[in-house]
Amino acid sequence: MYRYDDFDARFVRERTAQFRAQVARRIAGELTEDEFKPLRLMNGLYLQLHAYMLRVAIPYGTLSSVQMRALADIADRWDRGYGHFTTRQNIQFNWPKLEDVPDILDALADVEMHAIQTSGNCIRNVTADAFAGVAADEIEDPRPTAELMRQWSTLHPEFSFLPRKFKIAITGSPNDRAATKVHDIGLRMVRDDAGAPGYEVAVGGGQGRTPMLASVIRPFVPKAQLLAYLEAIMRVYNLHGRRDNKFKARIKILVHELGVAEFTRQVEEAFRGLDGPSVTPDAGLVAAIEAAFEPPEYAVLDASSPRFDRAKAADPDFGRWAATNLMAHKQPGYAAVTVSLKPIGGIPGDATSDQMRALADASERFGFGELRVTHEQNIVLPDVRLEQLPSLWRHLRAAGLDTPNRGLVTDIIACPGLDYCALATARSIPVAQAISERFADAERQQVIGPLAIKISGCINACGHHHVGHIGVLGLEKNGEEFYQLTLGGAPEGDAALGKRAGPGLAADEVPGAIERLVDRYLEARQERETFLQTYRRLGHDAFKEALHDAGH
Amino acid sequence: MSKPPTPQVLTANDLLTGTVVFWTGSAWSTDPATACIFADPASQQAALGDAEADAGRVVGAYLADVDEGRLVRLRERIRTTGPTIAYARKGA
Ligand code: SF4
Repeated sequence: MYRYDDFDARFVRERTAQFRAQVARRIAGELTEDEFKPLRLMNGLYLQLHAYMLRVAIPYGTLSSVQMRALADIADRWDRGYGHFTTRQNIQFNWPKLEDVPDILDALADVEMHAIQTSGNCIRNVTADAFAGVAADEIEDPRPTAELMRQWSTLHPEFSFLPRKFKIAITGSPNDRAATKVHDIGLRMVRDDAGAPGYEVAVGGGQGRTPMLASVIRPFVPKAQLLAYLEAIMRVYNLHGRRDNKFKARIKILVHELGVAEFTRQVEEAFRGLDGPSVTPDAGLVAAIEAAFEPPEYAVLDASSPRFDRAKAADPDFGRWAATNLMAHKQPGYAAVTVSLKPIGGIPGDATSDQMRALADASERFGFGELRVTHEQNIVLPDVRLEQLPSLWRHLRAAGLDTPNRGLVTDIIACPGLDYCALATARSIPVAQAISERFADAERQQVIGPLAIKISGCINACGHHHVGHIGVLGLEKNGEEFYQLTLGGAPEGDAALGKRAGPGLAADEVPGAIERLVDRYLEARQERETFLQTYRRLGHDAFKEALHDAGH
Repeated sequence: MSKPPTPQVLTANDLLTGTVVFWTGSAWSTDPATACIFADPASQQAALGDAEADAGRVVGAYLADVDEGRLVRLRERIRTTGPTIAYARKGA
């Protein structure tokens, strides 16, 4: 894992000390809230509905067991004993007190963490494939590039006052598990004709009130030129991005208004005009970062494990979990394990401090002390020996972390919604809980197969509803919450935005509506077809009708 | 005929703790039942002005509609009573 160098460590400590002084001045009345607000936001401190909220960055979703334990300790000491993992691979604490936040930031700095770049009009924490470095289908680990982007973006003077927030996602694999097409910039590793790795660069994706898919503006940028190319994109955006209108300020609007061809032309021109070498990091730095992401010392193992196979046959519960929650690992004899934070009827993405500690322990006992946060709000243990999976599963089960539902109908993404969020128009979590209860039967979930339900509590779309196979958007009319369904969205592969289906529903009508959609799929599916494939084959109206058929 | 003005209460978050508080007319209280109800626009604006003057103790002050002493919007009710879900609160 990447470790802070002296510069990083000093910088984070200085920021914390600065913020401590700023908090003291705010409390003493020397700073007004108008003066203080931008300062607290720069340090990840928001004001939500009931309290402050601290959003802590987990760069590219990777954290160590030591960091996970520190998060658990923070939850216990300064919050209410839990945290919420978000779709941006961060963690949020919902109840910190202003006066405690400097101490929390110090505790984070002790384990090389911070809350910078989690708010404001800057380049936000870069997100990555949660299986980076271990996925069998990967070209190369994209995290050295992600770390390079973190260093490049954190203190870059041109990027501290962008027209709007800016999100970059990266994947090293042809199977995009980082939803790159719905980010301001999406980077997908590809090889050129000579086999050298580089990146396909897509720009202008995003969700929110104007959802758009990113357009590829360059099919291949060599790795060594990537930062310069990104810098050229940021220049064009900084120059022409709409600072006059918050709703038009994201880069997707600029790409749309200029047209992809003209936007690309301007980027290429800026790229040619850049002093490449001054942007390109020196080879020594790149090598040092790459070394930090060297694979751990894997044991040489057989590709299969009789012990694992016997356990699957002997215990159907374990077998079911193994069938859903494992991912092929590039190293024979290992698997990457998804630990679901979506227990039936639970709160998507929440983990108690005890669960965080159980996860930290698991990562040490059954791995190399590393964990990942997924944008689906789950946790990944990236390097588990097949033969140890039965023991790991028992360990997880004891902590209530054994839900066998990765990618299934109850693996629901939900934003905090009106239970926490000051911007919400409706609740998300109770709707997720009701759907989860409705489809609780683990066997039935497996019969239904891959199905991504995503719920947002307002048009800002933090719950990614636009790219849910079934999306649910919570709105408000005349003081009542209601829910709009969208169908056919997909964050990966042939990425697509969902289309609206049917009239708004009351909260208690949503699980039934989803059940009707699922029934329609099960009736119509051809062998091995997923919900999304059946939807694409039959078309939107066939499913929309299913919603109506129930006598609405 | 113009509609009669909607009665409102003044609410904010405590600066130090973030706790939701209501203005009783002389102090900030966590109990919405003790909130002072401002019936007309003039007194509502004056209350907001008072809150601004009290910016050393609270943050994000605003007026919320009430009807017969009850907060009207679901958002305001949830804000007052806390999340509607059983989150994993420890030792509370
Ligand atoms: S989608 Fe809306 S309600 Fe949900 S977290 Fe984002 S801003 Fe809040």
